Amino acid sequence: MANTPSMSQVNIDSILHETRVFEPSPEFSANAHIKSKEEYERLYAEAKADPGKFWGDIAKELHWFKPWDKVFEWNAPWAKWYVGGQINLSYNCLDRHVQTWRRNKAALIWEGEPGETRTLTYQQLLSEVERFANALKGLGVNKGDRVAIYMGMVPELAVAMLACARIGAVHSVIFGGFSANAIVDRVNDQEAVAIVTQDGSYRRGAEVKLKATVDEAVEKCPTVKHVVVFKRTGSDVQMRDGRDHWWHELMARADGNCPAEPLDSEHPLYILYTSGTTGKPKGIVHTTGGYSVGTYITTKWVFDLKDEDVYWCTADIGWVTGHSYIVYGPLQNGATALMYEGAPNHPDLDRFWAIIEKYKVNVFYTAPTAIRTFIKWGEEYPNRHDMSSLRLLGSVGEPINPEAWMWYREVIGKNRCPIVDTWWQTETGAIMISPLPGAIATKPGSATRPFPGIIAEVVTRSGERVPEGSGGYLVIKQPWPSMLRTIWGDPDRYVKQYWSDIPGVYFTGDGAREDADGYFWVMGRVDDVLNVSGHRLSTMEIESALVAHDKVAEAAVVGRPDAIKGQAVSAFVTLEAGHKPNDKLKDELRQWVAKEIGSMAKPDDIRFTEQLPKTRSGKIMRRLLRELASSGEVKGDTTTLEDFSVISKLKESEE
Amino acid sequence: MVTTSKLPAQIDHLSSSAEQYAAPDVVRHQALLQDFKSEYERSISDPDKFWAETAEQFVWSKRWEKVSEFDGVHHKWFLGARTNITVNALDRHAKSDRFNHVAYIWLGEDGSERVVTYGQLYRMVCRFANGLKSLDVRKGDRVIIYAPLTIEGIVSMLACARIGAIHSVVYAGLGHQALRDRIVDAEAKIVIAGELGYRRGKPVPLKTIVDEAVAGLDFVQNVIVIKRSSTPFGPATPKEISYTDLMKHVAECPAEDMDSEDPLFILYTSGTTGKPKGVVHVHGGYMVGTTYHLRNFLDVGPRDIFWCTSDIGWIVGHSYIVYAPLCAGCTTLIREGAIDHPKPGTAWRIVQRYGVTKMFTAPTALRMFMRYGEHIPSKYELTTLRVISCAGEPLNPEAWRWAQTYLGGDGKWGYVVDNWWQTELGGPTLGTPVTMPMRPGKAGLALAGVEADVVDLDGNSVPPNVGGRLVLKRPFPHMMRTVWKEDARYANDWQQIPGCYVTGDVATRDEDGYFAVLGRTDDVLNVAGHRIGTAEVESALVSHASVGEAAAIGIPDPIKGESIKCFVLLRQGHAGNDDLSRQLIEHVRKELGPVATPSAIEFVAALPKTRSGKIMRRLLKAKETGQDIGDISTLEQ
Repeated sequence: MANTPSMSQVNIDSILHETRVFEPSPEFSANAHIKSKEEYERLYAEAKADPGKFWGDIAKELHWFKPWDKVFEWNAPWAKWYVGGQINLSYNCLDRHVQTWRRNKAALIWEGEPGETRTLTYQQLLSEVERFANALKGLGVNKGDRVAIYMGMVPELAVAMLACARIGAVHSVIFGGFSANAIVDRVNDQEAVAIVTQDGSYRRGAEVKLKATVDEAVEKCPTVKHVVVFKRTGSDVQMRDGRDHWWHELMARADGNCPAEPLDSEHPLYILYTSGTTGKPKGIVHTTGGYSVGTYITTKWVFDLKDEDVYWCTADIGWVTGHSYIVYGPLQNGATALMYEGAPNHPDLDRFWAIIEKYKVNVFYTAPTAIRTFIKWGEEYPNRHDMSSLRLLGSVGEPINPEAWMWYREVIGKNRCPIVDTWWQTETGAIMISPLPGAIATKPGSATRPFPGIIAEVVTRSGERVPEGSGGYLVIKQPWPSMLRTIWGDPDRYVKQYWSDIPGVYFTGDGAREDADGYFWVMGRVDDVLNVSGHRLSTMEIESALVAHDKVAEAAVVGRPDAIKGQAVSAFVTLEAGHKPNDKLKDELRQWVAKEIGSMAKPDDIRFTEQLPKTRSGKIMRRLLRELASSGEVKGDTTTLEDFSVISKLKESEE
Repeated sequence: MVTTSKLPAQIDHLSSSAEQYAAPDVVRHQALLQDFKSEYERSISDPDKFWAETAEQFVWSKRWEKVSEFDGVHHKWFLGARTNITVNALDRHAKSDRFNHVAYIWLGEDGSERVVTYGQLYRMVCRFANGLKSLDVRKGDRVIIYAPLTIEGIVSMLACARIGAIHSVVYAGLGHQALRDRIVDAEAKIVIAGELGYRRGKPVPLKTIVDEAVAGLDFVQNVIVIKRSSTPFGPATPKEISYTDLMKHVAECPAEDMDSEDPLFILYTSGTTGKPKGVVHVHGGYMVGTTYHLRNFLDVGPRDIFWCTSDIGWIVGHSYIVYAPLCAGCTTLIREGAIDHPKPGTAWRIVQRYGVTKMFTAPTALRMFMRYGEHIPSKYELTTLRVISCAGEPLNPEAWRWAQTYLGGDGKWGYVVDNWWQTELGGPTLGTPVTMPMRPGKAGLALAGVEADVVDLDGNSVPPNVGGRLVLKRPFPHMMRTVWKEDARYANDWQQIPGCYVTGDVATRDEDGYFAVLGRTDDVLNVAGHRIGTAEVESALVSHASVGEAAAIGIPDPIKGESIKCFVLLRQGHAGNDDLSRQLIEHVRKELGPVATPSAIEFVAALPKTRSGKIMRRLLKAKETGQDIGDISTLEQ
């Protein structure tokens, strides 16, 4: 990325003009953890002036076996937080609550795709975690050993993570949709000693065979001694004697007492491989103390969680969003989190809204790609359900287009719920830029203001702050507790990837601009920036313009080499239900973009498609589209692509 | 059931144990009520003040004008006050930060589990309440519930209460005639029927029993069927409607504003004796009194995992599965089916897995566990168990000692305490508070609000340690108000002995106020001029190492009046024979004296019991003497 041509440019033209502003309602603010803009500004200023005091005070809300000697130590790019402190994240998620009335509070409410429900109280979850921790110990898993987890969305996935955290084993969750090859790469990179999996999981009414995939992978994973199999579907699996163990059999034998191991604050908690919209997967390493503090406080302030809330994050735990905002953040806060196993369109297109109605969900956190899909399916599905319980909506994963944001606000939130558009990354561990919903007025498409303690800035290639309203590179100028500490086994890559492009600061890889109100507008990956006839355009902004057209559901924009313009704008468009692709519509859309943002941004070609290629976490794979737009075919690595048929469908749309 | 009698003035008291067991430190230190004695004093010196202060802790839409009124027979509490027990049981939690607190952990015999939060329960109850309204069920209408121990059964009860309908739960296991008698007596507009229950791994068909019970009863407007099998619902008659369909109504239903004295439910007590009577409890006093004793006697708070092993078909289930735990915002574990199925250690596996802290069970269960042997519980981690309260029958000292040793770790972690009450009394009346010493064989002290005595036929107190009639000298808020449609029958309990409510039990009281309940008045043995309570003979037998459970009855004898015959169920590993028989007779003689010497021992494989686990001595006696068996609708088959 460091050598992409775009990086030599000074800044990025910003062409999106969005002027709508939505204040939180007075009653929302009155009940919120952070109640006013003044309070936010005060916190922000305090944190900036004395980060040690700010992050130290927050950390005191958690349980420490031994307090830290020093809040942080910064030898760029190497950070240590809560130096000398001893803590255990599973203790803060569980033991801390079972000593209070929350002992009998629902910690996780789970719904299986076929419709069954399970609820685990904090007490029950602790009991399962202690037992599984002992089961792992019984298999010889020691502190510091790596345990890969390849599961679907079942409570046992959270149990496995928390059990690792309890004994100081390093977990590495591999999304349950990855192929055997992807497992091999990840398991071998970390040299995992065990894999926890399940027979199968349900998705769109069919069984996804997980154990069979592990069987294939584990042949090429010499470090793996044990495979633990949770029985979910009851389908036939091959169990190899000595290597494979049934979860329920281990649990039946395991002792129910396993005190949490006091761990050094910098003890590695987990490795999570970034799916890589760009290149080879990186094993992002998070450590215990700082990550605990970061996820705890962001969950509390951004989602404004209350004891009576039912909170639902629709992400898969295979991604960082699920780690931080299904498991660790909510549990540290003693919250009740909903967990759903399956697809949003099974058995019908209203499944999410049925779940919100059924469980009276109050806080709902999902991704723009899902929102755009819901828009495409139509309003009739949410309108079938009483969703008046919702009080706060969240968005995560990529910048949300203003029109999708408005739809989310109007159709799902009935103009009543604030939206927290959260910007962060696997690497940042926790939310970095987001409205605090009772304090910060929102603008559609803006992640708004940095979280207190996060010093974000938009800069040029050489690290100078760009003028207000101009596009540039989004960087973070001070270390923060939940930041990644390294890339597993490759510290050089850590330095090169994040700390070298622009000296002295963490480079996010995203482009952004900051407006007069100090609001950040993230424009997507900088390698998604186009250079069209000397204009540096954000693909996200052109996409937003296309999506604003009432016939367009979703759009992806990429550049292809063009002899004259440098790059030409190539758009892939999916239409809302009921609209047919034709040449007239192509023209209409080109004119629309010209009118919305200017003729330099007008797509040179538009392809209609039924679906866009996405990573399994829902990000559009622009890399594939670029290849397709440039050469007409796709050769690159597609291991993270969710639906391979998409590529052939796209090619068909060429003809 | 007018029992003037043949009852003698005094009952002989034979066992003279002065055994006392101090409350374990760990239990005493954690007890929610620390100073029982001063609490009791307060409750007796100014009961109105005491109960008013307790009632302040509840939500009322209108405050009372007067705390109590008592004319010697009828009593009223919180006069003029208005509330609905479900507002206190549900809204108070579901509309607060306790929305996600768990109300129930339901377990099935097959290992299935269902966890329901207050928020979820509130919404289910509202939906079903709206469903009942859609069938034109109104305040005051009676609804019979014939459902197993399931969330749906509980939702049905609460939904009735919410709209002011009077529920009457009939234990799902009673036969169709018993069910029909109760439907007719209550003139029920609606019958809610479980399709199936499960017991010992087998489905128990319930719906077919309901079909027979309601046949030809035109006043039954609808039968609501709670489906459980996978077959789709198809109404057999136009009256039938599915529970699931009624659950499609909206999840908000304002609670009917009830007078404190409006009936909440009718519960038919079968009795070990005679024709069932419809005991009536009300919204206000029942709520205040039962909830008070949950905390202050059973020692259960919101942080406990409370396992009440009863069933919603009994008063213990009404008070301590449904209403009091919900009013107190507690988490209750319930399990359908047999407590020893699929394995003898099932109960302890549950305690270990869920970290149960407080239990409420029956002597019959403890005796069963004792018969299985201590090697079963000793395999499990039971150290979370602080209190096991036991009620339903006299708790034999041997069964208590066994339980205290093997379930309570001999006080290292837990305490087994006895208590005594009745359907009519709503909640614990005599009992051993968890901070007080236990005296094996004695239920314990009169609890807060209770003035109990042991009297002769004229109502005079008998001396300490002399047996007599157990009576109560004043009402308390959670005591029954009347017998449905038979107020005279209710009044009779207050009219046999001046100024006393006659409990129908015989008892003794010692110098320190500990009561020992010796058995039902009707079962008293009359041997050569001595009146002996069945419990004494039975406990003497159970104290023998070979005996698991025993029942004693009197057989007419030309010389002695009655002779004692005993039915004995042996512990595992023992076989009945003449030699053992002689040994047991000798053992009782040694324990209680020559007067109580049984004349015959019969070894049996099972004792006849009511569905709630009480030994039916009446039935044994009828069989022995050829008398009319009477109502056996509640007999466990």
